[in-house]
Amino acid sequence: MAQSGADGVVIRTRGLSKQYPGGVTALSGLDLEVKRNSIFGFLGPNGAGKTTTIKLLLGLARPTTGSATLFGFDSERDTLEVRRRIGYLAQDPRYYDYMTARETLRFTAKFFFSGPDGELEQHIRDTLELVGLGDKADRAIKGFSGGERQRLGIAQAQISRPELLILDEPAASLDPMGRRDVLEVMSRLRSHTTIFYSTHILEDVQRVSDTVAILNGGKLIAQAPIGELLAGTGRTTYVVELAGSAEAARRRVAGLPWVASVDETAGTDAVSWHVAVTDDPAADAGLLRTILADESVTVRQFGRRRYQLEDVFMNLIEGGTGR
Amino acid sequence: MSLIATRAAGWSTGFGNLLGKELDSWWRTRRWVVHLVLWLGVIAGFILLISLESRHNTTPARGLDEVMNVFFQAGGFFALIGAVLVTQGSIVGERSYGTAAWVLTKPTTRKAFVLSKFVGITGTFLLLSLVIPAFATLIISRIVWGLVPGLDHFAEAVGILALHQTFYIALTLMLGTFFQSRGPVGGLALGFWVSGNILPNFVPPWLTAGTPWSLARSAGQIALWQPVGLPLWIPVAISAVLIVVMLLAALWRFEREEF
Repeated sequence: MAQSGADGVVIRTRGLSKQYPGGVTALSGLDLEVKRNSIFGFLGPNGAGKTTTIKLLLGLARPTTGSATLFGFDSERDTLEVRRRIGYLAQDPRYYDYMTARETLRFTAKFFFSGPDGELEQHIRDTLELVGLGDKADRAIKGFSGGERQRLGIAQAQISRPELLILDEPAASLDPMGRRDVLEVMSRLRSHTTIFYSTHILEDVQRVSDTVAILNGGKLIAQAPIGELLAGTGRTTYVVELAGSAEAARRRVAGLPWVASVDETAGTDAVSWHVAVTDDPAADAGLLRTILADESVTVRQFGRRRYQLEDVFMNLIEGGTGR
Repeated sequence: MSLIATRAAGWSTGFGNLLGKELDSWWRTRRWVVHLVLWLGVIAGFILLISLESRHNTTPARGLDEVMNVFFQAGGFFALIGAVLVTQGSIVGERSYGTAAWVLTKPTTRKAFVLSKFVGITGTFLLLSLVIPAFATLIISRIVWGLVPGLDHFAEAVGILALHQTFYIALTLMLGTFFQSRGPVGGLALGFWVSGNILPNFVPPWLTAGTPWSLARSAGQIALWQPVGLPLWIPVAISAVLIVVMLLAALWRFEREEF
């Protein structure tokens, strides 16, 4: 039976650092916590240290300082126990090309299971069906497309019914259809598995993740539930687009006690405002009415600003601030 | 019944599965056919040609000596080069292609990874390049010359040659854990063999007589009932110890490998 802390933490790193010969610091003092049954998006630009972190968790590399525990087992000392509980998909997965998809899964499964051949073969068939490779089971991998290879990657990663799936850029090399397929499989697996995956495709993270960590230059700059990250700075902002003479309306809005600021951007035949407020109910009830009270303006667009993960990501990466 | 999660621990975790994969890479592909044809062609084919060429102008006893001479020289030269070429990419290739990193994320050990390669390559390669050609040589001798060598001596000599090839497989495997590309691995292994052939010209014979370099020569001498310089157990023991040392060095180095 797997162990995790009483708090349900599956992965915990403390001050995890990796420095390569020549003084290159790939990872610096990473403190990370991944809770059971979450889909944890591990974000960062290329070279941020995502793959290094994954290699340290898997025991493929050794930390310079710090430690990582998975299910309460040390990633270095108890690496065999850790790997019994993990399924892993590499960024650029490579398999033995002379094997078929079925043989690859059989080879992988035998590291984890013993038992009647019939049961094992049935499990392999079920797994191939799950990822949509049932009809290609006996084809040599050599001829597989990138998407098929990636689906095989997911199949081999989860054939052991792991409690934790670690996926390194699972959709990076795929076309939109392939990406959709991979995200669907991830969503299907979330009911019984914790998924920790690295990516730089922010749209995917926003679609499937519940918790996000952002890494830059080897340092963790944010870790939070995705809803919290998307809530932005904590101050609600309304986006308003107006046509006509808006100066009087702007003065009136700026004078409201619950308006913190009004930033105006002029367009060709309209202006856009970003109105930051300090009292959400008051703004919901009164902001649009206040603007419409001025008959010389026409409201073309009105609503709360919806932050995209990309906004948050770019702010954090470019600003280098943590939360 | 249903599938049972394996609970094995220790260095041999996953060894059986990895060894099965190594053997499959030979026996479930055309690789074994290619090697069988190659070694039968190079060794037994060569012996057949020479035997047919000389059978009318020499005695059967001399003909058999010639067969033994050619078998052990070809085995000590061509098959040795083959052993180095087959082994040089086994670690380096998997590391650079990425399959080693993939396999090592499964519940197995690095020791099992290296040793499965040693056992798989040694067993298969010796069978294809030495044991089967040795049987073919006996059959050719019997058919062409009507004679076969003393089987106990022949078997002993084949065993010595097998140890010689095993030494070079272990050496090449060890070098594969220290270097990142095939060039230095194959180059150093073959360079070691070449230096063993050159060195006796410059140093006293006793200095190289007990080393693995002398094994191929000793194998031929045994098959031809000729006296071997030193007691045979000395180069055999030294070679066996060196094989173990090289494997330990390979395991030590591979444990420290980062992917």
